[in-house]
Amino acid sequence: MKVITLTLHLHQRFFPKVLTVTGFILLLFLVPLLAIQSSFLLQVLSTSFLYAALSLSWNLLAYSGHISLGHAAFFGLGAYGSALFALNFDTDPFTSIWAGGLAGALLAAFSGILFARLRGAYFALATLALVEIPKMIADNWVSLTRGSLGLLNIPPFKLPLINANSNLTIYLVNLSSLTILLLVVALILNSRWGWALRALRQDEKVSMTIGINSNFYTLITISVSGFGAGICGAIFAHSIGIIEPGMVFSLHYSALPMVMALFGGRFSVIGPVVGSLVLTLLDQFVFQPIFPAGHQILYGLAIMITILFMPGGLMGLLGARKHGITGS
Amino acid sequence: MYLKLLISGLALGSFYAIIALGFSMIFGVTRVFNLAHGELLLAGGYVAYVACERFGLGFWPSVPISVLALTLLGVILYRVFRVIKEPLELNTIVFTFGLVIALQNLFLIFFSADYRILTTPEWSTTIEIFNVSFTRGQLTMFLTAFISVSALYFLLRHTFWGKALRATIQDREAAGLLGIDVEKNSILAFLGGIALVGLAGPFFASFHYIHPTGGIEATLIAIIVTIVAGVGHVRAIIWAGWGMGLLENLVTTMLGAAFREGVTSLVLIAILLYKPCGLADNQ
Repeated sequence: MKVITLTLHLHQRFFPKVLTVTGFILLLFLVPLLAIQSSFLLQVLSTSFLYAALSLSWNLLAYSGHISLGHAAFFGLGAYGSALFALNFDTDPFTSIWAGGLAGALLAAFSGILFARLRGAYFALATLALVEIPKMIADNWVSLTRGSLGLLNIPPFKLPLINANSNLTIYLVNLSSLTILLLVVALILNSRWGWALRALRQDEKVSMTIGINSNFYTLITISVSGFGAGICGAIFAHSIGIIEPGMVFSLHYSALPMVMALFGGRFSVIGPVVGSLVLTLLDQFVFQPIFPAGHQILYGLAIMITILFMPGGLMGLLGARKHGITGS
Repeated sequence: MYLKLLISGLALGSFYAIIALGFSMIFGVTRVFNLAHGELLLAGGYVAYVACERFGLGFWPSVPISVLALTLLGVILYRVFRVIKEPLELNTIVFTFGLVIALQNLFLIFFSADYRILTTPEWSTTIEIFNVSFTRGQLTMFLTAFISVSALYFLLRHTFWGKALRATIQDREAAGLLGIDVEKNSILAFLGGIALVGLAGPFFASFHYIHPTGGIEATLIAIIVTIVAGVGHVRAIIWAGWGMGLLENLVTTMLGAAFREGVTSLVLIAILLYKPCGLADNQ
């Protein structure tokens, strides 16, 4: 009985939300037609889509209760994997980004196995330290990665009818990948898999006694999360055209997805996307003009305010917490 | 050659012992997992830098200024940390990660990304003891660490207040039941920990070039030393600090400075795999 009411409750809430989100995404696909002149707006929006996709990947793992401070490791390896694949095998970026995603997923699966016994703050700490290892390799394996000189001439995305590497191409690529990732994450979180993750987050021991395989779910979740982050890194590499170890394996790309997911609301599927849009726009249009040097202070303040005053993030303020199964 | 490595490693290790003691005292009484420890150290360094370079004070006058500034900051931080809810370790690690980003950007706004150093020319003169040459800076570092660590050891082991503080670290509730003023002890120990960071800050700025993103490695080292030694175990912290100092020196000489951060991270991961409960499991 309880299950049925829960399901009904879920569907009542779920379908209107799906319609709103679908409408909003379609609207975003139309933005270039209206704002094609303002290429700065297009750039800012594309960046926020990339961050949103990265935050969604991060939040998938956070749904299981594992807070990662090291998604830059997967992001950076995705960037290097895809760029090296495209440069060495002379392939199209749309092919090589899968290699990047796979590289991110492999590292994530490896760390999932290695850190299987770590929980909470210690898992976070281990992932923070993890970033330095691929960075050290990328910095010192000079014959493959050219070390700190970085990789140059990474081939850009090409879409039919649009100039190569224009802002519009990047906008469409980023928005499409965000849409696909959002769909995947929404499907996962509304399946048994997603409910297993929520249960694990709330009480791992109790979940295991009712038959949820903690190690299995954590491993596949961190792998998918790493895959998403790897794809984001790959897209970043092909949009920028040049990467170096300090740039992609930086604290920046570990911090951003966490800030945006927490600020937007980590207990809701759409929260990370909302957080990324709000924070990126705020950063680029308000903080950047005021503090050109230290504008990223915004992200630090956003984390602190979220932890102190709104544990459910923006979506929590909007009432997503009333949904019930929210947890710690 | 090896003797020289040993000496400079011990000097560096003594410095690590001071910052790890600070971390350990803060964590011990408040359960705050302070990821911004290295940034607080940098803040102390920058305060001393301003005192020296802008106001023309010498190195020694800048030390109490740095300690005072950080203690004041500590009063604010203590109030804020009290508001953070359970699960405390995870929430504080995320919160202080935000503090890391905020502080790094504040440094960027006020000091730009330039590498800065406190110039103390008299410290590079060498002194020969038993045919081994020290720089005066290494000797000062070593002595300062030795004095502050022994003072702390005496305080914690041989005074009533120290006993009360160790009781507070071991079990807050039981300590409270025995009539110990847990709240007062916590504030004092927290401020003491922060003051230690303030003491180390000017030294950090006179040995290393400081720049806005240069704090994270110090944090990782403080965490490694604290996990290896256990919270509040002063003697063990000194040994572990020296161990890390020697290891770092060895890595820098054998492999080159490019591998230092990577090796520090590997050490941290190895220790976490060996001790998955980290700081919780040390009694």
